[in-house]
Amino acid sequence: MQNLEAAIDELRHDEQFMACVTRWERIPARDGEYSSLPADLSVPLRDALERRGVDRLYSHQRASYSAARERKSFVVVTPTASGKTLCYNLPVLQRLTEQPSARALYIFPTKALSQDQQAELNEAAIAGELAVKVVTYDGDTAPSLRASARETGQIIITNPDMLHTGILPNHPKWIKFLKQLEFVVIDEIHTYRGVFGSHMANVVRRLRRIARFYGTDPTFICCSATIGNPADLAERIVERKMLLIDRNGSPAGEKHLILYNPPLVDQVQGIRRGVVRESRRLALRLLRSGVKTIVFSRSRVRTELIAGYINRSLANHYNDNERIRVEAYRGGYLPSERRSIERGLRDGSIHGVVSTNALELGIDIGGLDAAVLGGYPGSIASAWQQAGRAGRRNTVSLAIVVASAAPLDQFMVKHPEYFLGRAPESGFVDADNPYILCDHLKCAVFELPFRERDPFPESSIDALDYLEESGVVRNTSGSYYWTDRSYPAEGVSLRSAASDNVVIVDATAGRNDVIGEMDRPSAKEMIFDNAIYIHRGRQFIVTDLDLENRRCTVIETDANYFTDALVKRDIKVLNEDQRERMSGCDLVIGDVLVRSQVSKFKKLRYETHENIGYGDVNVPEEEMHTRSAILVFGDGTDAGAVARDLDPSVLGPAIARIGSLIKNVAPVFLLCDPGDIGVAERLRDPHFGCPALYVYDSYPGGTGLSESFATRIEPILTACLDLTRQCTCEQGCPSCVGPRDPEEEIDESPKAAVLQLLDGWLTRGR
Amino acid sequence: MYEIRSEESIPGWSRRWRADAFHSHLTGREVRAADLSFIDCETTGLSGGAGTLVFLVGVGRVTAGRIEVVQYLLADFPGERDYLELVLDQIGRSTVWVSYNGKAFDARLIETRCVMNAIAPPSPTHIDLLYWARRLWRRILPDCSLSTVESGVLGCPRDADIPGIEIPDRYFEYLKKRDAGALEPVVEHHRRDIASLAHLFVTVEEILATVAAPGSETDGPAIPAQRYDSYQLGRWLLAAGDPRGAGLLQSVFDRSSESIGAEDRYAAAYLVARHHRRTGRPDLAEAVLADAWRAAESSAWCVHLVVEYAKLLEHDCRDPARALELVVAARRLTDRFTASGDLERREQRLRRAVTAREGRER
Repeated sequence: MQNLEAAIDELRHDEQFMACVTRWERIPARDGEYSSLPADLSVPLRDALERRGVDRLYSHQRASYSAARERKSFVVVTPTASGKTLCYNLPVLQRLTEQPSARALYIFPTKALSQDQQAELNEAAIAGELAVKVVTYDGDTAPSLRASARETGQIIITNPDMLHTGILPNHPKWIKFLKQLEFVVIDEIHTYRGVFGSHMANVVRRLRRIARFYGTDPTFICCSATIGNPADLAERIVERKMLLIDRNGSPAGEKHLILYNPPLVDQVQGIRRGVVRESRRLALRLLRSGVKTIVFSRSRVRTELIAGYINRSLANHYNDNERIRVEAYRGGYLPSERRSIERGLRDGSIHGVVSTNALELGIDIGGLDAAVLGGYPGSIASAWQQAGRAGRRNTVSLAIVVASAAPLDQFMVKHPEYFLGRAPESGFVDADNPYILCDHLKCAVFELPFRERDPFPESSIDALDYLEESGVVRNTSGSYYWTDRSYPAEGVSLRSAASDNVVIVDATAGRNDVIGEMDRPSAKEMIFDNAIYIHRGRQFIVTDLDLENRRCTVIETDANYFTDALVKRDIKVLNEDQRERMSGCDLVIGDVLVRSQVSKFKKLRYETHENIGYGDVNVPEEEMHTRSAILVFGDGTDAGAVARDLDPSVLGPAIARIGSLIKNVAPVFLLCDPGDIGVAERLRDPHFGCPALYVYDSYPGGTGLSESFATRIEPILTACLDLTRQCTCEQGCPSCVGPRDPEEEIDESPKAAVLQLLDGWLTRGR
Repeated sequence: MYEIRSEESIPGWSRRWRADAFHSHLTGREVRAADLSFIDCETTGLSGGAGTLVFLVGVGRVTAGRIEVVQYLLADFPGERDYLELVLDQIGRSTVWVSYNGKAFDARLIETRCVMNAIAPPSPTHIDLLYWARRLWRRILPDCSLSTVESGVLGCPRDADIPGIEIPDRYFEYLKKRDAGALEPVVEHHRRDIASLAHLFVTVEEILATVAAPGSETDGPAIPAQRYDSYQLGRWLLAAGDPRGAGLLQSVFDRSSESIGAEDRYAAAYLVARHHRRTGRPDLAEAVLADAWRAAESSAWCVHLVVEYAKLLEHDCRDPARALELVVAARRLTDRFTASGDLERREQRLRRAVTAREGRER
């Protein structure tokens, strides 16, 4: 990789660049640890492997094989390009050559991944002429093929949603498969965190319960990216003892990791060059040096913007855009488009890609040389996974983390020792979350009358009694039976909004082509009437968003702006479950109704991002019932006392700024993504009659984050205070409490106001 | 478990069969009336899945033109296993099941329930009358639901029937309150379904019997031919390898009654001709085609018929010259309104064939 080495050398001697680098970490190359092929491997399988050039295993693959052979459930931690698939394919294929009637279920978090997987497996199966039948069974499987898939598939590849709505509720059709089920593979188990993970843990409970009904007790093989607690997370999801295999035996080339803080353009206000602009500049520089580069960006719009800007910079009819091809990649593209981009990356015809975290997952896109992270992705684990997208086994690679103005990014880039020293986040799963549990109990009762509680928790009985009161189950002779004509799995979505997508239809010049899709809540905020929708660099204007029929009609346009919705949120307390005086305020935990309404949008000019106008949006508000932890500045509390001393015109903004500090700092403590929590402040809250700050769960029903926040309130508030105090700015900057905003009419600086409130509040009680 | 028995006569049954054993066209063999089980189930849900139970199974048996319907009601969920075993015993595992949409629904559900209760599922011979209803009346009736068939074909519309969607809730209500009154309309609806099955069975048998012996009178007033879709039936019979289909389709072509669409007549002629060619009767095929292609002059079928006829002349009669004559004549007639590229290409090919043959003969 001479191009990359030259590019790295050039960066190192570029003073302007180096002035922005807060850390340049060189991670040395690592040698592989190998082991011979297992002695008991069947001859056809051994031959098949040897034909593919595999004559030895990495140590972790060997350890996985042994564990699986002993029927020990395990989780193997596998960084990118460490030969993950062999960790489960080898023992499963070996078992199938010994016992062709055995069955294995592979669960991948997304459909895209399962298709990739099948391609890889077919390769092994065909190459080795093992005659192992591998079938993908998901929403795209043709109904005519389903019966034969169930009958003859030895390895069935599916996703949690299909398992939940298609397989488990129809388990009698799967009798042959389930009676012989020996292995369940859960790949990318680190993605099952928060709400999704809590759902997944319950789907696994249901699967184990049904397997037991058919007399099987499958061994679970889980694969995880590097996270803080892989074994713990796997144990929370599978709910049995898991062996941890985390000693990675695969080799890796040298890696350069650079933390980069864009240059200041306004010293006083602390404004830095934007992350979109800097990511584009750095990516262009690498691409022009012949370095294959992936840029990660934090939103769908930014992904399209960065890809568009890069392509615009390269646009040159005379030199064929310098023969550099760059694509955007994100959710919402059609499967065929995604496949073709993935293929282009693997075969080298695409040199650069700008992606949301969609490519962070294990989709095989071959080796890239450099990764530019346009903004800290919100977690250390994601940051390492995105950085890991660059690099092959034996060559040098580069990853640049470009900090945005967000306080969390600034914190990370200014505290490299924190970034580098910190273990990746832990996955958080609350399988007994009453909302989620209740939903899955309905499904479980539908699947099989509920007699033995196991593997469901003690609290299930209360939930079932509640369900009996509402009439959907009936308790008689010691069992609960389903007594409703509905099909409960249909009403339970494992993901926040994946189940009802809006289809985007291009109607330019009489066309009627589906070009993409988007979940409904996002659609309200992104593809409202007159919004600009960007799709692989082409611009469309929305002519009609028909939410009822889940159809958005767009026509191609060449506007010089993109659109950004202004979202208003409103929050209402439904009931208080708990009220406790702690950390100098009254902390309330309860149910809330969060409503968001898009009423206006901004038009932002390309390149400069200046605001060139507004438009109205007419979409119904989005309602969400969730859980919240509420900091109430009540009478007799330290917070309340300090608040009373502040002028109301200062207090409001100060509380709001504490809210954004919390939103940005709390993820580090709560092991979640900033998107998992929302904040809202009220100067005179109608429910509490005093100032209040809401920290709520962004998922319907809540995931336990509010409860978790309550137990960590002290360190979170202290971290907010420290961040503000230690910031070197004068009046507040994007890295701490946010820059000064003339509209707030605060005479003193917002920073002083926040410090006065937060410091007074936290030190009073000490 | 509760048993509910009732009895009624089936219109037309005794007229058709006096004996207990008779030839059934639906099964293609001799059956005894006692071996036919008219079966229907009511369930706790409409979307299927492991949580949908069968709570009411009914079986009807016909003796001397009267059907005895026995309905078995599941008293409560815990008794399901015993219920299923008993019901299956009563139905008898070796009888011929006659149902309406039972192949896709009732039988699958019973299978599911058996799997869940560790009982061996039955595997009966199964006649699903829905498929027959679709063949015979899909193009005549607005839909093929049993109630539409009852009013449109059997001539006995139902009044005051409970809508199917309300049935599960009635059962849940019954379980909760133990009030059999809630189930009365369900039981009545279910009983009617089963009696209708037997009525429909004899009706379909009667239609098939007229097909079997065209022209011959059955021992009762024949069912008027326009009451069923003879084209679809003929087509299906032919596809199923039943030569009676050819006779039926021939009669469709011969009849120029207003009740049969012109397109159906030409399509019928086409199918009949192909059948005759395939079974080695080019003479019969020619007789049909010679008439049909001119009749079909203004239809897209004309080209198909001409092509078929030309193939017959060229390959079966080994007379490419006549085939060419035909195609030339047909093109003069049809080029005005059809895109008959087919004919054009065929004409060129035939010209080459005729020239070649003349060359050889010379």
